[in-house]
Amino acid sequence: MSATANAHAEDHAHDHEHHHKETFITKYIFSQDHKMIAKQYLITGLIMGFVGIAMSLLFRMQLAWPGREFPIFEAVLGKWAPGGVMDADIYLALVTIHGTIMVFFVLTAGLSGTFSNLLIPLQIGARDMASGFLNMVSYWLFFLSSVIMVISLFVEAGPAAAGWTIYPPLSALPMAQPGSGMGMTLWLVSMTIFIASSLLGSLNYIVTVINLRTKGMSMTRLPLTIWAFFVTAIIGVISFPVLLSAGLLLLMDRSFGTSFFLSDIFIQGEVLHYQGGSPVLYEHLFWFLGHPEVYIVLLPALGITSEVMSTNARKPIFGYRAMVASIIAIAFLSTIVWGHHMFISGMNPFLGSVFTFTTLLIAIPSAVKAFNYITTLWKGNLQLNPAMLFSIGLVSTFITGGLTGIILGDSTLDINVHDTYFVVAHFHLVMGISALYGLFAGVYHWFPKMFEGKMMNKNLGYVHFWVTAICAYGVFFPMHFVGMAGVPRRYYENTAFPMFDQLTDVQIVMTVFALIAGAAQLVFVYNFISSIFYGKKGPQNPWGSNTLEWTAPQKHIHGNWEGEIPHVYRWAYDYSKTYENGEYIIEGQDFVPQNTPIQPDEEELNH
Amino acid sequence: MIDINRANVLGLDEADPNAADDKIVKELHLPKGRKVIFKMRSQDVLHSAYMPHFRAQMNCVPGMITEFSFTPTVTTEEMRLRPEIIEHVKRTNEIRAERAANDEPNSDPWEFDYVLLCNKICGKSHYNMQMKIIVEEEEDYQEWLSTQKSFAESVQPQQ
Ligand code: HEM
Ligand SMILES: [Cu+2]
Ligand SMILES: [Cu+2]
Repeated sequence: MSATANAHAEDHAHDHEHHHKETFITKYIFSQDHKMIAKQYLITGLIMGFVGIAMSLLFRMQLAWPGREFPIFEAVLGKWAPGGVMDADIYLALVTIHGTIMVFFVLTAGLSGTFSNLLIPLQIGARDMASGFLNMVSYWLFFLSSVIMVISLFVEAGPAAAGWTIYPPLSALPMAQPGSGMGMTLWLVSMTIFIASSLLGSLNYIVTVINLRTKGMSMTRLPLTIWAFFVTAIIGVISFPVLLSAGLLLLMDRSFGTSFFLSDIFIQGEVLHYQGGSPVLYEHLFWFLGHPEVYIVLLPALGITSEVMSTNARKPIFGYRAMVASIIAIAFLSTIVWGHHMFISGMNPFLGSVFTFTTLLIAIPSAVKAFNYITTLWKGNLQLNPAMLFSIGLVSTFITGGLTGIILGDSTLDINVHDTYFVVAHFHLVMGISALYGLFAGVYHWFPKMFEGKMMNKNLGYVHFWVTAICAYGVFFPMHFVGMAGVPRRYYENTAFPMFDQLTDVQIVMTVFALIAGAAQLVFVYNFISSIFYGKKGPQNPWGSNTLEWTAPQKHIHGNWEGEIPHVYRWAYDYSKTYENGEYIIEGQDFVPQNTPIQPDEEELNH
Repeated sequence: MIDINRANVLGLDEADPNAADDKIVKELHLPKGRKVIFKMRSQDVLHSAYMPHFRAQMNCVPGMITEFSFTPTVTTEEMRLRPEIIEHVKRTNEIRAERAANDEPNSDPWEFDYVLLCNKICGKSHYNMQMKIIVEEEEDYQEWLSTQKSFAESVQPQQ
């Protein structure tokens, strides 16, 4: 299978000069080329990210200055902010759509979709994905689901507002909340299409990695990026269908009178007929995806970090096999820990202790990874470009957020902080901010690969990094204390409780940091767009990197390499490798690309 | 069935003899030093009964009964005498005094009380769903209890 695919692809490359009459539509819109699809994912993801972050700024303003009139509220929220005062229903809707967009549309599709597409074929030495057509369908389904999610913002009764976890009965009963009408239906339709898109993409990634590796590219020579994308795709295939089932059952409860999740409900003076269902069942189904989802978001970012750090520390990644093993261990464990989101759902406390056990086990591979990153940096010849800074930032937020995970993973300690701002602080640092940093690291590092050699402006990159890094901690670090003081999440304002009055100043500090962080993203947007058009063209291998994508010509061609695909003779991390006499393997060059054969006197190390 | 006109606000079953001695209250009184078992239900959507001062929380789930128990050890009165609470109340009342001076809302002086608040998104009023908890000595508790009407006494007769 793999041989035929390669042979076919090679034929293709030979006659590619002749039959390539691409139209605008096949080249930029319905493209089947993985490099173009990667860019489509990235740009769609960034636009959704803009919407999602803008929403968070709006509701952060409401939290800092509860009930205050802001003309901007009236301008963007219209009838939901009469006189410029935000309405409580739209607050919940903003939180819900912010969470949904950031987790699924930005950090699942925008991050993993972009870099899996860009890097899998280029780093394993393949002409394209196993199925270019399915890849295209996957992107367009993602696009469609994004459009539906955005349309849902404009329906009469408002978008879904039951939290990104959309627990029934709140999400199931239109009379419980205006957002549970049409808005919720569109949310469910959008997510259903999103899941289909994600499955097509993931299956493609898996098949491509298994079948289309170039000669010499054994699994143990794969760059860690590819390992991360590969395993991420596997967890996606295992867990997304479970979310689909939860969504479909919810749709049936909503529209066809079934009672999967509903029972004994009396609402607005009316007894409903639902009998025998359980909202806890929904929670199980949701979190069976929901927890692996955080690793679907995070693992690609960790993979990118491995690659960027090793390149820019000019050192081999520390503990390659331990890194692979921990990716696999995290993936496996991530499917058996979902109950830690449900410690106080009414489940049996004994079951809680089982989930505590499995959850704390994840700390081991996570710590291995954090340790290996730090050891990779240790005594490295650090090239602190923006991609590297964001990677280091990721390790920092991953550790900070991970430590609070140990508290939340303990079923007894969680009782007191469950659903408070402590949790919001935890997951933003460990998955939101970490994965976002991974996304930025990837964009700065592979921008030249995406845009035919053009480089992003470094100085703007530094501004972007430092302002973002300081402000992200400024927003989310104090949030731990707000949570420990007992402030619940998803509260429109905290003024109903005098005991929270003394936190008002902290709320303002967090919001100011958030607004500055949001402004800093505009620097990135400017840098990104202007570099696409006016960026300076760099060398073909700007970071002195070993992986195969830098052996491909800067100009994008269908099939990636002119002529033959490069063969691989070594792993991806031969940085600063020397002969016994201390000379670099290739004279005057501190890296040895993967397509360089083992030199006569060179010792091949067993990694 | 819930019947506001007849003061059956929770929809208890009048035919059920076990409901007759139930007491429907607007604030929770708990006796100090005795284990309290909370049995929780919900009639509409998920809620979560969160009692931050007791580090206690349990979801209220339609269709099933969940439970939680703890033993309160410090009465509300004793709490109010603790230095850290006095400090907290003082700071809060300074903020509130400032608001009063500026004619802003939420400016009434505050006195410490334990609270139960809702901690599971439940709709528009989620942010304001709360109940006062009062922990008191056993004899005060008994006295309070004796003033509360049972369901059988409080429900209005059928017209
Ligand atoms: C400027 C950056 C951001 C700010 C200021 C911000 C702020 C917030 C705040 C304050 C909440 C809690 C609101 C509440 O519970 O009432 C929230 C919820 C959430 N945020 Fe963010 N956030 C940001 C970026 C992100 C990112 C990058 C992610 C990606 C994972 C993310 C994912 C979520 C999720 C999943 C929720 C939960 C939504 C829910 O409760 O249903 N946020 N955000
Ligand atoms: Cu989890
Ligand atoms: Cu609530």
